[in-house]
Amino acid sequence: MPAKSSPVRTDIGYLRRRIKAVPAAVQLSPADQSTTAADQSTAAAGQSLPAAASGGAGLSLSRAVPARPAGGRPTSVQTQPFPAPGIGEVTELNLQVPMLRLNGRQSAIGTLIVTGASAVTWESSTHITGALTADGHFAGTPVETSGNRSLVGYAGRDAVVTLRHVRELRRALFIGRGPATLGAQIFDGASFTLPPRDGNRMFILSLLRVDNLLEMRAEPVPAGITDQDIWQEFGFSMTRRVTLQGNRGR
Amino acid sequence: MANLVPGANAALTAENRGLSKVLVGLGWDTVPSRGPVAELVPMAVMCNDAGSALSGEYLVFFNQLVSADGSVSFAGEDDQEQIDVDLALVPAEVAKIAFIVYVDPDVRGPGTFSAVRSAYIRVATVENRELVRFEVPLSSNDNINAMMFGELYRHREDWKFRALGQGYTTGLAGVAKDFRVDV
Repeated sequence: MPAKSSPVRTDIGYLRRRIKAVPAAVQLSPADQSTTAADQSTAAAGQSLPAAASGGAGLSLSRAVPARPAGGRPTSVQTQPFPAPGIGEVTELNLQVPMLRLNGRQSAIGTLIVTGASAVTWESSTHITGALTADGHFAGTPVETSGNRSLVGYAGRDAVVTLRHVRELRRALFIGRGPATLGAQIFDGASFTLPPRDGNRMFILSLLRVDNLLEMRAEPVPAGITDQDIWQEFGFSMTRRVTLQGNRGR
Repeated sequence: MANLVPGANAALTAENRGLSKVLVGLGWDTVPSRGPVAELVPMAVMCNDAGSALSGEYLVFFNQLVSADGSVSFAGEDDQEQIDVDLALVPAEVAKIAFIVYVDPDVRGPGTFSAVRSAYIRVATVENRELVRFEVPLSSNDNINAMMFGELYRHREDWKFRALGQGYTTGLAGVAKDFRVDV
């Protein structure tokens, strides 16, 4: 299996040990108090890890207390993601600036258009995977939305993602083998590109949905790598599907 | 329960003492199709007294479920969409909250309101006791791709609701321009 040549990614939060914030003192309701008491009795029996006594790093199974604004309503994003540039701050994703994040509006309005993509691979939030090339070759299983459009597909030579149904998407890969530059554009016209093939290296565009936000990454891979090897490299396994018969005579 | 006509308004808090939270329900019925359909998306925009959105964070829709202050939140889908508004929590600089339904601008034939057979907006108490309803008039919608159904607005110390039914032919981009907000 080909190995990626990228250096250690210090921008990826989940690759580093997190420093857990100390939760503020919370006024528990009677229901919460009873649950906590049950948790404590279970812990006393030795069946779960003790709650973290301090805010230090390490595993904690204590009750999560989501941050709430003054009115007691939940926010749409419970925890703030690590800092990342927005699409307006980046013209090219590369090794120096490998990722950007769209805001909640940019992630969900209209169509994400990816130009220069010779192939696209997707995984839905229900783990349905598939792949399609610009020439129409297909593998895996398509994901159709309630609007009768494919969640990820092609419109002409451009790969497209239906952002109205972004919550149905988990991740996608866009592979560009030239000659057109691989790049993406959102509803408001903001766009970015990826570097062209450079000797033995090329970049593919990786899209990941984290809660309600889309993150885009330029991922370097060996230039000669096949699509199948890229799927394997990124942990995609095509979902098999049954070819349905239109009329079974019943 | 009152049925409003376009442009009409209804006093909410003045006529319902103690009303501090309302549920705004939006719904519509479309012509079924086997092909790509117009996908209607409801949205609430919190505006200052100049009619501008406070910021993008004060625009509430399916992928941004709660306003920055927590006063407006998408709550359920018993209508096509239900939006909770905690009037007591709405910041003082918010003069009105506009309720808009736009056709998602998909590049593969987004469609228009022409496929919409009926549409409404209603305001109810949190117990779902309906206070006002507005059946949006739908005629000549072939080029309409966004519509302002109605708005909650401050009137002195009270909140009122105004029925609108104002269509846009410029879609969500036109809405964003009107409310001076980036989408």
